[in-house]
Formats: sequence, structure tokens, C-alpha cells
Amino acid sequence: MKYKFIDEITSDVVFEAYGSSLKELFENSAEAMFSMICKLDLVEPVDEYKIEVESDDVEGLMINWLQTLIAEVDIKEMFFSKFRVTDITEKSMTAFVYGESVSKEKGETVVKAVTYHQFELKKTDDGYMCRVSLDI
Amino acid sequence: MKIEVDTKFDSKEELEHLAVMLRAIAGKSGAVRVPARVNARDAARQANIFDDPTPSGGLMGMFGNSSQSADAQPVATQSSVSPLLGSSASDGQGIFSLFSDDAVPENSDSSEVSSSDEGADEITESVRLEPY
Repeated sequence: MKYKFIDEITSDVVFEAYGSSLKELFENSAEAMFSMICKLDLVEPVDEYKIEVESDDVEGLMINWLQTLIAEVDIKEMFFSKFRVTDITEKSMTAFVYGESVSKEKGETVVKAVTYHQFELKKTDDGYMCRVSLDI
Repeated sequence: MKIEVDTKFDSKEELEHLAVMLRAIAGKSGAVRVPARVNARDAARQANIFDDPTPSGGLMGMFGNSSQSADAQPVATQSSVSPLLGSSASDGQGIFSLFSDDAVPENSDSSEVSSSDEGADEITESVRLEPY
């Protein structure tokens, strides 16, 4: 399983993402978040963007990664549907994301921010798990 | 884009999100667009026009007389070839025979060449060049 949604109350959506490696965890977390933001299967990966993110620790890296992606929805007006993490350490990462321009038909929910509420990132027997809460 | 900030009302996360956005807008971080790549098949096709040494393929193919085009216009091949080009269209060389290293001297003893020369004489007789 790549990810699952845990809880949906009025202003927060919580999901858990999984991955056998950090790379996969970050890719799946982005995919989970964008499955809230847009209709993933309709968004064509026509444009490619490179994203570099840094932080003091791996938890902060995940939050920065997701926040950067949300910011790009507003700034570049893009929906992303494909995520490829090429390099990752606990403090920095490089990824390529693919998508197309925002359109009403392909939009779902406006995600305002990633919150620290219920946030968790841990190593499991199978790899990694991360719980993220989105402010919608 | 117009951004409104209410430091009392906005949550810590929203302010942090705003900080990320402002850094991206200022060009300090965020996504950088990667120029569109040519897909592998197109790239291979483009490379082949220079790689294929045969007159019938690749870039040179547009001048050469491939077997396909010869089949398509079987009648035209005999009469449309000028003796100046030195070979018939069916030999697959066409205009390239002008530059060929294998060009045979006029006084060659080869029977193949002499028969080719005879063919060229016939063609010369049968073709009349009309001004445009």
C-alpha cells in the first residue's frame, strides 16, 4: 500500500504514506497530498520541474517538501501527478515533479498548508511510514 | 498574486507556508522548470539521418533512388535518368555516383561498363530536354 487517508474532519485531512525507502516515502507522500488537491489520473505529466529542498532533519525535510509543492500550486499554477526523488539524505533532497497547468475540471480540494498536528515520520519493519495532516 | 497576512488570525503553519511561498516567488527556492526533453525514439530517429551511410536511407535518402521509389515509378526510371549522372536509377546510386570512388574510366575494358555506356547512349537518344 502506498498511502491511506485516516481522518477527515472539517479543516484537516490526515493521511499515512508508506515506502520501502525514504525516496519512496517522499514520492508516495506527495502523491497522497496531490490526490487531495487534484484528480491525479487526469493530470498529464507534460511539464517537468526540478525541486531542491533542505532542512535540519528528515521530519522537517518532509514538511518542507510538501509545503514547497503546495506553494508551487499557487505560484506556478500547476497540478503535479508524478514525483521522482533522485537524491535524498536526512537533510536534503532533489526531486523531479511532473504535471500540467491548473484547470478547474481537474481540481479537487484547496490545501492551504501542511500542519504539525499529528505529524509523524518513523522507520518501520517494512521501511518508513509518515503521517501528515493537511489544512484544507 | 495579492497576499494578505493576519499575524493574529493566521496559524503558524499558514505563516510558514507563506514564508515558503515568498522564498519561491523571490527565486530563493522552489521548483525550476526543466526544458522539455526530446523523447528517446525521436532522438534516435534524428540521430539516424546522419548515421545511415546508405544513399537509400537517412538524410541522403532524399536524393537517392531507393528500391521503393524505383518500384513506385518503374516507367520513369529509364527515361528520367540523365547520362550525365553516369548510372541508371536501378543501381541505387543516382546522383551519388558522381562522387563515387568506384567511377570507372571511359576506356575501361569491363563488359559491364560497356553495356552501361550503350544504355546511356540509348537514353540520350530517347530523352529530349524541354525548357521550363
